[in-house]
Amino acid sequence: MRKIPVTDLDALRSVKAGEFVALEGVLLAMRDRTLARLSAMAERGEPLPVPLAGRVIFFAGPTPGLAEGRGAVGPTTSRRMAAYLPFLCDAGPTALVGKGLFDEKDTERLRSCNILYLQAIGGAGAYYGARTGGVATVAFEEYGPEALFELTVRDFVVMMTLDGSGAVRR
Amino acid sequence: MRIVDGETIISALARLIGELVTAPPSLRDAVFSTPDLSGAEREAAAILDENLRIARAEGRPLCQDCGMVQVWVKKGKFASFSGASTLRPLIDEAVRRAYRDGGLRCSMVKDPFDRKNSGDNTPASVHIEEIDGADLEFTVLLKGGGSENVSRIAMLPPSAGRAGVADIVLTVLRDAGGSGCPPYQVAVGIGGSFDTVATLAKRALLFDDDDDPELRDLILRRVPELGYGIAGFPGVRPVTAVRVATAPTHIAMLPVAVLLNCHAFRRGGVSL
Repeated sequence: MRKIPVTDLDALRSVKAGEFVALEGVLLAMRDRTLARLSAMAERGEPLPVPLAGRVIFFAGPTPGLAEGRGAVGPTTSRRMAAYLPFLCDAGPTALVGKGLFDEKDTERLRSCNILYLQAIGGAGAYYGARTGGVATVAFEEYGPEALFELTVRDFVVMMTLDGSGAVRR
Repeated sequence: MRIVDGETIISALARLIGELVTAPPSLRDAVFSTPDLSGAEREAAAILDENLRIARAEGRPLCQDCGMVQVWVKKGKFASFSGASTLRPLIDEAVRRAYRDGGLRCSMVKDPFDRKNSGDNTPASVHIEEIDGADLEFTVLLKGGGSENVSRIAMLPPSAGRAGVADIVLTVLRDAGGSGCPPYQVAVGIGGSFDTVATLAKRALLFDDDDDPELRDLILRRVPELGYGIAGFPGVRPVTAVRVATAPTHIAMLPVAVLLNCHAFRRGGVSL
């Protein structure tokens, strides 16, 4: 299985839909509440606590204890984040990682703004937790598990679902 | 009247929740990798088996979604308890201890619109069934939001029959896809009313009801139509089990609740 540094845009875009790869590096983890907040901030023209451009976003909310090596983190349902895709398209992350598929319309939206989509295995929180070396709260700590985190991961196995050529593996 | 000590109830439930999070008895013999799997589904199955192993070996939660705590109490008419005037505060105290003090993810929000986290995973969802005798039995399910979100209720006409119920179950499973963490434990409640049919489905999931083997087999025969399997990838195993509970209903009605549980089936019980 190929190891892909999340900062290597060319490598990420070379992965074909249906291929499993191991992501390495720092993911931005966020879910419902942080996305709602970021999207509202962007709408008001306020600066975001961290730029999303060029980053890989993981739809997830970890357990406490991840930093002490006894936590879990895994993907949450991607299609619930569909409401925030207009914001994400403007913000320009390289890729999104989550659970399940987006519908046709949202997949087309991602394709049109050149954002890749990768699926992680839902419910494999202990597995991905063991592959997460570091966790830092970047913003919105008051949201608890829905805060904005940076996760340092290795051997983070995911399947390319919407690839750089626009092909989809369902 | 038999009196069970309130602290005994709290500590027993907190201990049970801790066990369900990492190594539930309901998954003791679970194996996802079977010889009939191939391709992406096989990769996903191997990851789920590794997930079970790591959770047990390292004491990590199986899933970051440590669940909404759902408790079904069977309370004998000769059983009572000390420490509180009703069971709910005792159950919520157990949840508080297990989650806040146990470093588990707290996933409950106090209000559906302002979305502020309650900070201790309370309140639990509590259902109390009165039974004869002096027993006090707690059955606990840690239910993830992903699979709860893809569950549905439908009010069918009686003419729909078993075939119509099976259609609804297949539609729910098709819409769920990989979003609720398959392979799913499917629980179907049929009958009762709009409010009780959901509880009926939950009873089926908690107590392995098999009230209508004909419907159960009809659903299982149609499962291959779905075309997806573990993790929602193309494959053959979207469903692990189908449970069915039925109840009397109205001459005009055929209520159906389709409750899906993710592969992290975290169910257990304690009798006090």
